[in-house]
Formats: sequence, C-alpha cells, structure tokens
Amino acid sequence: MTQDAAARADELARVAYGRLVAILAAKDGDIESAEDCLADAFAQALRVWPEAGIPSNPEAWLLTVARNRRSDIRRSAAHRLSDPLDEAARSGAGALSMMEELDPDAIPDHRLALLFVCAHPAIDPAVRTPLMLQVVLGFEAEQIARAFAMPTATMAQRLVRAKRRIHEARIPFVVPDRGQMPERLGPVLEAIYGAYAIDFPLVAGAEPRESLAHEAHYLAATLAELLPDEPEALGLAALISLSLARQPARGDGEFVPLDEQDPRLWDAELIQLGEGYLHRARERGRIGRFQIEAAIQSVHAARAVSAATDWRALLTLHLALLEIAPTLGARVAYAAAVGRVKGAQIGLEALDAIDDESVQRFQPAWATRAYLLTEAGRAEDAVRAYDRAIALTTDTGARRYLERRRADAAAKSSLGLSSGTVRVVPYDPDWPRLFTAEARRLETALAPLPIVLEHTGSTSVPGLAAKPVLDILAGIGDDAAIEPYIAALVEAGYVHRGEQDVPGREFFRRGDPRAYHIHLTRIGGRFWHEHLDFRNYLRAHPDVRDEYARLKLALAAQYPTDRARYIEEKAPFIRAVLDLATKPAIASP
Amino acid sequence: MRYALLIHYPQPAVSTLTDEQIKEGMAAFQAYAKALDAAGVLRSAEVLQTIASATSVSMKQGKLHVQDGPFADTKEAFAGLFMIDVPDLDAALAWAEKCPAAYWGTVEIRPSGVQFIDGAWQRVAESSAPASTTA
Repeated sequence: MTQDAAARADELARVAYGRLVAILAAKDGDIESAEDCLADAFAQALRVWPEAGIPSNPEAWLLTVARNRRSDIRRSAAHRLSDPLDEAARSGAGALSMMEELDPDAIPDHRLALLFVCAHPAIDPAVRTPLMLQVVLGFEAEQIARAFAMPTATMAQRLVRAKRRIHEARIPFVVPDRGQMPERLGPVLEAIYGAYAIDFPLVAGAEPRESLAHEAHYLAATLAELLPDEPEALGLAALISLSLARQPARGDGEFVPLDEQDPRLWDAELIQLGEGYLHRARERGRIGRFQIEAAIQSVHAARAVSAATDWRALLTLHLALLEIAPTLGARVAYAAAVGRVKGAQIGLEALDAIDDESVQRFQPAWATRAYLLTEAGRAEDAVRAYDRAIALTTDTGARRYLERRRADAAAKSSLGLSSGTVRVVPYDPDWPRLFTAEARRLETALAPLPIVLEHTGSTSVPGLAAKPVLDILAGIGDDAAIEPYIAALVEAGYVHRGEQDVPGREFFRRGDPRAYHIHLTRIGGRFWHEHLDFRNYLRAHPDVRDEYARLKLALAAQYPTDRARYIEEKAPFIRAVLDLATKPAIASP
Repeated sequence: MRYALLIHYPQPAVSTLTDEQIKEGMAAFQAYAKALDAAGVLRSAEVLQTIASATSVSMKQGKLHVQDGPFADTKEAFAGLFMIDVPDLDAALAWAEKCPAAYWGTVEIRPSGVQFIDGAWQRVAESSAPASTTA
C-alpha cells in the first residue's frame, strides 16, 4: 500500500508536475513559490495517501493542498491578497467547487503558456532549455547541471534568476494569439530542440545524452499535442522522433556517422511515430525549418527499407533548408550533400562560398572539407583538413572517428599512378580496407542497381608488390543493361574509357593521379573468371606470387614510362598462371 | 604549438565549499583531464593549493625579501595550469572553453615562447610536434 502510494506520487510527479506548476503560477507568475508549494503537497501526499488511500482525483488533491499551502504562506507573511480562488480553497464549499473545476477535461492546460513563458524574448536564450526542463518536467537543478556539464551552483543560480525575472517583470502566462504566434513559437521550438541537440562536451557516451534526448522528445510531443495545427510543432516532434530512432546505431565508443550506421539497429517504432508527425505537418501546407530537417531525417530513415539513400531528394531538401534557415550548419550540410550528388569538386566550391568568418573555427566544416577532399582524390589536402578538424574536436568518440578517417586519407595518398608511368611498390596491408571502403561507396552510388564487387589485380594479393592502383572487378548479370551502370559510375566520379581493346569489359578510372580502376563486366564471362582465377591462384601459391613480383619489378625498372610495353611483357606469365589455375588435375596444396 | 591554459578563480576558504561542491568540481576536472589525455594533447596539468599557502620571494630591492602570501592580492588568483600541445589558437580555444574552471573563474590562454630542451632554451613555435598524430 505504502509502495503503491509512493509509486503513484512519483508517477504523478513526472506526468502532472508541469501541469500543476502551470496552474499554480499562471495568475501571478511566481514559479518559485508554485514549485515550493507543490513540493510540500507531494511530501504531504507521501505521508497521507498510504493511510487514507489514494484520492479519486490525485491531481486535484495535490493542487488543493498546494494552493492552501500557498495562502498559508501569504497570510503568515501578512500580505493578504484578494484572491478568490485561494479564499475558496479554504472553505469546504470552495474546495468542493474546485474539485469540480479540476475535472481534467474542464481545466485548461496551462503548460502551453508555461512553455511560452520559458522561451519569452525577455529570458536569456541560454537558460530557456534548462528552465523548461525544470518547471515543465520537474528536474532538479543538479540533474540539469550534469546534463549541461556545468556546476550545480551555477545552474541553480541561473534558474532562480530566470524565475525571479518572470515574476518581477510579470511575464504573462498566455498563449500568443495567431498574429504573434509565428515569431513567438520559434524560440519555444529552439529551446525544446536545445534539449535534444545539446553539446555534451565531456560526457560523450554517458547516460545524460540519452536521458535528455528522451525528455526533449516528450516536450516536443507535448507541444505537438497542445498545438495540433502548428506544422512546425509537428515538424519538431517528427525531427526528434526520427533522430532519436537512430540513437542505438550511433556507437558507444567511436562515433558512427549516419551513412555508416546499421539500419537494423534503428528503432522502427520511433521512425513510424516520426513519419506520422511529418505526415500531419505536411497536411497543414506550411513549410518550415523543422519540417525540412525532419524530412531530411525521413529520407535517411528510408534506407532501413530501400537499402539505399536517395541523395537527390536530400539535395533538394538541403537547398530548401538554405532558403529558409541559412545557418552555418545548414550551409555546411548543403555542401556535403551537393558534393555527394554532383561531385566532390562542386561540394568544395559550396564550402568555399561560405562567407561567414566563423567557418574557420567550425569543426563540421573542416570534417566535411576533409571528406570532400578525400573524395576528390586530393588525399594530401584531405589529411591537412582532417588535422584541422581533429584539432577542433574535444569529444573523444568523434575524435577517434576522425583519426581513423585521416589514416584512410593518408593511406590513399599512397595510391596513385601518373598516366603512362609504371611504379611498383611493396604490398600495403591497408589496401584491402581501401577496397572495402570504395566498394561500400560504389554500392551506395549504384543502388538500386545490383552489382557484385571483387578486389582484383595485384593489390588484392597479400604480400605482392604492386602498382599503387586499386583494381575493382564489377560484375553485372547477363541480361542487365549496361548503360545505367556506366552513367552511375561516371556520376560517382569515375572517368569512362570504353572497352580499351578488351571486348566485354568497360574500363573506368578515378583519381588524378589515377588511384582506382573499375573493370565492369558480366558475371560468368571470360574476363570475370580469368581475373578471379588469377587472383585466387596467386593468393594460394606464395612461390608463384613471389616470382610474379620479381618479374614486375624487373619490368618496371626496364620500362618506367612505357606502360603498354610493361603490360605486354607480363602477359605470357599471366597466361601460364591461368593455364595452371584452370588445369583440374593440379590441386592447390 | 604549446599553450598554457592558466586558471584563475576566487580562492575560497575551504570551509565555504560543501563536500558536494568539492566532489563535483573534482569529477569535472577528472573528466576534463581525461578528455585532454585521450586526445593526446595534454603535456602536464597542475592544480595548486590556495593562496593561503603561498610564499613570495624577491631580490628587487637588492636584498632578499620573503613575503608570506601571494605576490599580488587579487580577487581572482592563479590556481593552476594545463599545458597543451595543439596546432593553433582556435584549437586552444576549443579546449579552454571546455575547462570546468571557466565556470567559476577565468581561463587565460598563453602560447609558449621558449622551452628548455636538451640543455638549452629553444623557440617552440615551429619545433613542437603536431597535436594530432595517428597511431
């Protein structure tokens, strides 16, 4: 019984706290005193309910006790106010009529007004989010301080100052009318979003990140419920639902960026919820920043179903976001999207076009630049940009991720061969990983076209010296039309060079100097089988592999600028190996 | 480039801080130093005892002058330092603004000028290792 009552009081504290504070403070704006009285009421509930039983309308009970407590305080402070409700609360008849008034359906929900008070223009923007967390959700200053990585005393002081300001300046507890709504709603949405997008500098991976994100979600859902006709309120609820859905896939230690996340880890229920909000927002026919950001999240979420990301749709949305809210973050995100769709060079130009000086100190801008430079094949510039991004990153998980990407870029700078030249270098154990990374990128670029990608050529044989060029064997079905593949590969940054005297093989290269080759051919064709057989044979026969390496080094020394001759001279060796590989009688050791 | 993050804050008599506040401050400094260390930019970190324990020495007047107390009696006093090695001022700023002491005092960023290495004073501006080395 005791436990029941305690649990019930606890549950009420969570659900009803904001409602009760809003009702208590609505009249005179004294949130501090409303909270004190409510705390007393909860304490009394814990004493009384276990013995007397839980009242039929616990919320009304708490409100009555809190109001009585408040008028007691006022009377003892000898400033009697003519407050008819307080007067009524003390007489039996008044209490009864109030119980009726407190029918949950009859009493207006003042939480909406309370949210507008917290984000009033006269309140310091930095304290709006903490204020909402405290007065609407009943968080202690200490919990909020921990979430913001701030000393409790500092946070408590800011909260008290804000509440006094509300009371003393008489910020009204009203919901702005339709005319004022557009300009007043923005700060409320921002403050709620602030609880979600909070920068947790030193507690990466610690629980506050998660718990506050859920509170932000609750606040956004509440706002959407209280303002069902405001598309941006619905948009924010959609945005937080959809981003929160990806939380489980973000990684505990090293940060995992969106397009490397495993969609199976995403929360399908939250995605569905978010899509529902977004759908309702669209029906209102008034577009806004949060709706667009939610739509961007929705396109990403679709990868869970379609296995591919629609980058063109994303580009359109990022462009729309730039029109409505050209923040630094939006401009950098646009550069990343346009670089993805139209090529890294265009993305870099978009980054260069940002004239805001603070972009030099903006970590995401450097991380994006580094990514685009890598894509553009400018590995050495990319390494420098990663260095800059890393220097500006204090979060351990994000730093670890960037350091790995930097290592990739540094390794890529070991790839590359100028046209017509021959240069053979020792085997680099990083080559298989470079293949995997490029293959993943290609699968995304080609989707939904089916493709089989194999690492081939000398870089695919561990221990073999090779030209620093990664060969990728790309296989398509016998009946597949080849043109869409060619178009998609060109879109992905490759230069199409045609068959190049090898019937049944379309050749592509990327990078200047060249770093990647793609051989597009049909699975089951001769080219496909020979290349895989040759690779597999060398992988299985180190002695043959070493012989091949000696031949390549000798030829490279002999014909350093005559690529055609180099290829011609190694052909007999390759032929001989293929004969061995396909001779069924000789089994591998 | 090496930078000193010099922490200044009002020096309370220890009794004015509650155990909770001390515990919270220590946890914040622990997390901060760990993040610096994990990033590989931390060279050294010291938090000093309060100015009550300071002794100042001067020979300016031509003879030894020992004073019981800090050299300057100011409201905010020097309280500790972090030496970090980062590429430039923007990176130093990124770390300084995360320093817990910034909430109750001031963090002054000063680039290192010369450094005593291998038996001689050397300029450090160009010689120091880049902050972000990859394993």
